[in-house]
Amino acid sequence: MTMSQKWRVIRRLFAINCASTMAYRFEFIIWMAGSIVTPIVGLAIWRATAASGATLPVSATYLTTYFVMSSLFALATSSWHGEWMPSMIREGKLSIWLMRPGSVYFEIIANNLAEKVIKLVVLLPMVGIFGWFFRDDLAVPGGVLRWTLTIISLLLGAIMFFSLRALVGTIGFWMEETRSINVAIGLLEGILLGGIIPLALFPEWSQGFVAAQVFRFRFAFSLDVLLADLSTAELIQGFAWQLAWTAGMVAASVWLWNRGRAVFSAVGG
Amino acid sequence: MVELHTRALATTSSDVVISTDHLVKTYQYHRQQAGLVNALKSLVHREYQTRVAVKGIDLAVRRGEVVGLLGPNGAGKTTTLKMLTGLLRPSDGAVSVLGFQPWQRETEFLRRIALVMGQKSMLWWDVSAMESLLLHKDMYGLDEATFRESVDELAELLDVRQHLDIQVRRLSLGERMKLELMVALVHRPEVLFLDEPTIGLDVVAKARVRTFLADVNRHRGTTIVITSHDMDDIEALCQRVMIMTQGEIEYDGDLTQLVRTTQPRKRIRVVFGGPVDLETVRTQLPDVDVKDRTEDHSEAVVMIESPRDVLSETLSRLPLLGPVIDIDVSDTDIDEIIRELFTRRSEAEVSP
Repeated sequence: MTMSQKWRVIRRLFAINCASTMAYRFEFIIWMAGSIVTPIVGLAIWRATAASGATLPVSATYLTTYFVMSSLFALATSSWHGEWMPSMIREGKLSIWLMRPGSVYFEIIANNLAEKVIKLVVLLPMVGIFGWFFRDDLAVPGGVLRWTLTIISLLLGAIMFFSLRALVGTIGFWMEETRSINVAIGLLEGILLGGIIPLALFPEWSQGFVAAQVFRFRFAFSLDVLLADLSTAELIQGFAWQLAWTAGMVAASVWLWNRGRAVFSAVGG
Repeated sequence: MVELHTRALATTSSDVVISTDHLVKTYQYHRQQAGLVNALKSLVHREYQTRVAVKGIDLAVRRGEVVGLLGPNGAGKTTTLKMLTGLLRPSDGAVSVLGFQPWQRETEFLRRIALVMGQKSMLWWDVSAMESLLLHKDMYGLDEATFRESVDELAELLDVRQHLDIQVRRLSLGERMKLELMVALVHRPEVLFLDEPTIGLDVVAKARVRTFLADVNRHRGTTIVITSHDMDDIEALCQRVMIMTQGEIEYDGDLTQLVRTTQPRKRIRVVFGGPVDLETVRTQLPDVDVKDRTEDHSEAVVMIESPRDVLSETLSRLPLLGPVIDIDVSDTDIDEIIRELFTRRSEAEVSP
C-alpha cells in the first residue's frame, strides 16, 4: 500500500469516526464537563492553600494558567485504545482487520484524531469560561519559539502515550482481561501526571525522580516549556528524556504487537 | 510441542486456486481441574496438553467451484477456513491460495480474497453502508469507474440500493447481511470464504443471500468456500462438499453422489383416496419400507422408502394399492444424511 493510499484510508476512517462520534455528542459533553472538573478542583485547592498562608514555589499566575491550560494539553495527548484493544482481540474483531489490506492501526489513529477534534470543539468553550473566571491571574505567554517547542513536546507526549496505551492493549493477546493494568496506570497517572498536583509542587527531595518519570512527559513537561521559563539546559535535558521515553515506548509497542500477532496466528481469534 | 514447519506448495494446475498438502494445526492448552486448591496449583504449575485440530488434510479447489465445508462442532472446519484465509498459521504441511501462502498475509493476497463471518461485521454501525464501501474503495485501491460499476452490479443483485445511505444500525439483520456481502465483494475477490453467512437470518433473507451467492459465482466466476450448519445453504449452493470429522476429511465429492451413497433409497409420500391395507403394500411392493401411515375416513397418507433402482416399478405399482390422489418423491433430508454419516463415524470409533 502506497503512502498516499494509506493517507486516503486514514482520512476516510477519520471521516467515519467523526460521523460515528457525532452520534454520541451528548455523551461527549458530559465527558468533557467531567474532564474540566479536575483542573478546577486542583486550582481551587492550591489557591486556598496559598490564601491560608502557605508559601508555594510557583506564582499564582503560573498556577492559574497551568490549570486552565492543562485540560487542553491532557486532551491533546490522550489515548484510550488500551481499554478496548483486548476485547477486540478476545472477541475476534481483529480478524476483520487482518483480512483486509489495511492495518488496524489506521482505525486506531483515525479514531483518536476524530474524537479529539470533536472533544476539542466541546471543551474549548468550557476552558474559555474557566479562564474568564480567573482572568486576573491568567497569562498565556507568546513567542514563536516557545510555542513551537511546546507543540513539538505535545506531539511527542501524544505519540508516547499512544504507544503506552498500545502496549497495554497488546497484552490482550496473552491476557483475557487487562483492566487491572489500566487501573494501576490510572492510579499512577493520578499522582504523577501533574493533573491535580503540578509537578513543581512535589517535595524538593523527589524532584530528581519526578523530573525523569514517564508520566511527566505526557503534558506536564509541555506546560513547563510554555509557562516555566526553563533554561536551555533544562530544555535539552527535558527533551532528551521525552525523546528517550517516546522512542522506547514506540519500539516496545511495535515489538510486542508483532509478537502478539504471531501468537494470534498460532492460536486464532 | 509440534515443530512449526510450513513449506510452499506449488500449485499444480492453473485451474486449482486452493490446495493443501498434509495440512496440520495443533493447539496447546492447559488443563484446569475444579476447586480452589487446583486453581492455586495452576498458578505455579500448569499441565499442558496438545490437541490436533486438523490432522493432515489434502484438498484442491478449482477456480469457480462452490465448496461446502461441513462437520459437527469441533470437527476442524473453522480452523481449516482460518488457515486458508491466513488468520492461522499451519503447524505443519503446506497451503496455497491463489499461489500465496495465506499466513504471510501479503497485500496482493488480501486484495484477491474476502472473508465474511456471519457473526462479525465489517460495517460501521453508526454510519451508512456507503461509508464502508468507500473505505473499501480506498483500501483496495479501486478506481472510481470500477467502484461504481461494482456497487451498481451488487446493489442490483442484492436489491439494496435503497439501504445504501441509511445508518447501518437502523437496518434489519437480513438487510445488514446483504450489505455485509456487498462490502466484502466490492473489490471483486477471486476467492470468497464464508463462515456461517446465513446465521440468524429469516427464511426469506436466507433464500435471497443464497440466490445472490449463486449469481456471484455464475457471473463473476468467484470461487466460494462456505461453512454452514444450515444444510439448505449447502444444498442450494454447493456442487461439492467436504465433510470433516475430528480434524479429517471424511468425504470429499459431489453432493448428489453423497446422497446416493449414504441414502440409496428415495422417500415417497403417497396420498390415497381411501384406507390402505399394509399387508397389501408389503405383498405388492416387497422392496419398500413403510415408514408411516395416517388415515382418516376419506384418505390415507403413507410414507414409504424405495431403493432407487426399483423406483419406477414402485411408482407404477402404487395404483394397485388404492386410488392415488397425490405422490411426492424426494431424497432424504440432507440434514438427516449428514447426521447419519456423523453417527456412523462415532459408532465405528466406539466399537472395538
